[in-house]
Amino acid sequence: MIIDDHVHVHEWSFQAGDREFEVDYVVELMDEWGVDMAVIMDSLAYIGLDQRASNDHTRDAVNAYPDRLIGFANLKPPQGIAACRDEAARTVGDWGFRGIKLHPQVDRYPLNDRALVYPVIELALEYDVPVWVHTGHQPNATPTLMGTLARDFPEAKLIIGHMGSGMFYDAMWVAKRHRNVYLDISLQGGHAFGAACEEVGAGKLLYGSDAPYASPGSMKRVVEESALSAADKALVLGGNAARLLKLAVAEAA
Amino acid sequence: MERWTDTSVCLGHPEWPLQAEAGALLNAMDGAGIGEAWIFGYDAVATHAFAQSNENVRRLAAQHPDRFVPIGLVNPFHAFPAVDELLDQGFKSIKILTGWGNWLTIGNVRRVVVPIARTLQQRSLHLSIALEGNVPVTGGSTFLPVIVREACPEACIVLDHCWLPSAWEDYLALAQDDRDLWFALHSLPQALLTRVVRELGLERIVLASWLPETDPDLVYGQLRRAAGIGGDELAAILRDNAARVLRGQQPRRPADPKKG
Repeated sequence: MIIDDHVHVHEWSFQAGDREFEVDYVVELMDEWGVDMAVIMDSLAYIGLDQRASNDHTRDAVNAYPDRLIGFANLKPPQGIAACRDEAARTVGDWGFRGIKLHPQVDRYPLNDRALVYPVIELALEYDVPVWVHTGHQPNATPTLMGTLARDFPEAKLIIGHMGSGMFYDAMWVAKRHRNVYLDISLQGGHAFGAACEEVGAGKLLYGSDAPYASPGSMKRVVEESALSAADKALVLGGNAARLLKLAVAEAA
Repeated sequence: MERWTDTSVCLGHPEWPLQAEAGALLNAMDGAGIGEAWIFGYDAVATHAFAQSNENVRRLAAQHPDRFVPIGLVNPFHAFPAVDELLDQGFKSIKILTGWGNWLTIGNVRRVVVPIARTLQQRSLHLSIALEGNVPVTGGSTFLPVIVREACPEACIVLDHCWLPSAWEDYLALAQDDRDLWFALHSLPQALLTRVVRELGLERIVLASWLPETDPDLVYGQLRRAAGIGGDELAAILRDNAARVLRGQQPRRPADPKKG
């Protein structure tokens, strides 16, 4: 079971006629690269639109491919905890989304902001779902600040998106120090992935592509061609995600 | 006039060579009220002649023992026995230059920086880590001191050259987790510097202008505003902090002001 933990869909396109963010095209990409399931997050939220519209679109995509796509809810803490609470109830509670996505860089808030972010982590604990956070941009979206969250919420399941981007060593040390932190490896390369396998271990690494911004094949190939054992490759490519997302395939394995 | 201890001053500088000559530095120090400067041969980042730059520092400090404290720089690929030799000659610390060369990996931190930290700790000296320049450190802002601290829990570590304002959220988070870290402060946007001083506390701060990279008057003026106390009082606190660092001691905790 190959699970990509980071894929986007959205309704707008960079130029007329582009299909690359349409859900049908994203599933074609998954087929091309042998990806069985993918966590999707609509990208409308990143261009300033309302989190509800964004999550509506994610719901439509999941409904179109319920056996292939897993929804994560975009939440925007600056819109207020009441709005986030309503949105979590709608998306996770009613629709069965399996996680929360935060993007402190585009929404311009520090990830360790107690007033804005901590109530959202409490929501994730309430629904027992992981929180996937975009990281790689100072000052707001860094792996070190994820460490502060991990320290203050040791029971929360936190995913450092893109393994910190350029701050990949920081991300590894946060994951080493905190048992509740996982690393999404999307957009990384062979050196960082190899170091993460050695330092953090395959049990906390999640294959992700950030498709269609990047090909699902690029990081998949890095994992497949790495020195990991077959069992560890299976963990990174899907086993860890299945367990984290409490998918039925994880229980069957 | 206040008498400051400036913990980072460059003897020799690729971009400002004239301002980084000994005479120019002494004049600038007199003008800014710097009683004591911790000096290192920064021209080595361009010449790669670390031994020569360190020798220039040693000679200057020997000529003016009341004004200069010699700090050594080493090529990370050839750190030993250079570190031991420098310390035997009287150098008071080694400053790690993260921005020089292309050496900063986890493996090299363990192979190079951790042994340097241990060597310094055995001699009751401090390790100085110069972090971001105008670009972030490859791999992140905090992993280097975290790895060193894991390996050397009692080491005296100063984070220096934390230039990037955007990296300070990470430094402040790191400071919460490692309360024994010292921070060398320089010019920053005033609101940020004020917040940094408030969150760190004066007990964990030393001054570091990186003369001639920044104007010491500016740094000291900003710090006075951030601390909200008089220049003489602030200079005395920071001189005392610098003296603790030179002895390889951890920062005082607010609860035990007279200890050590």
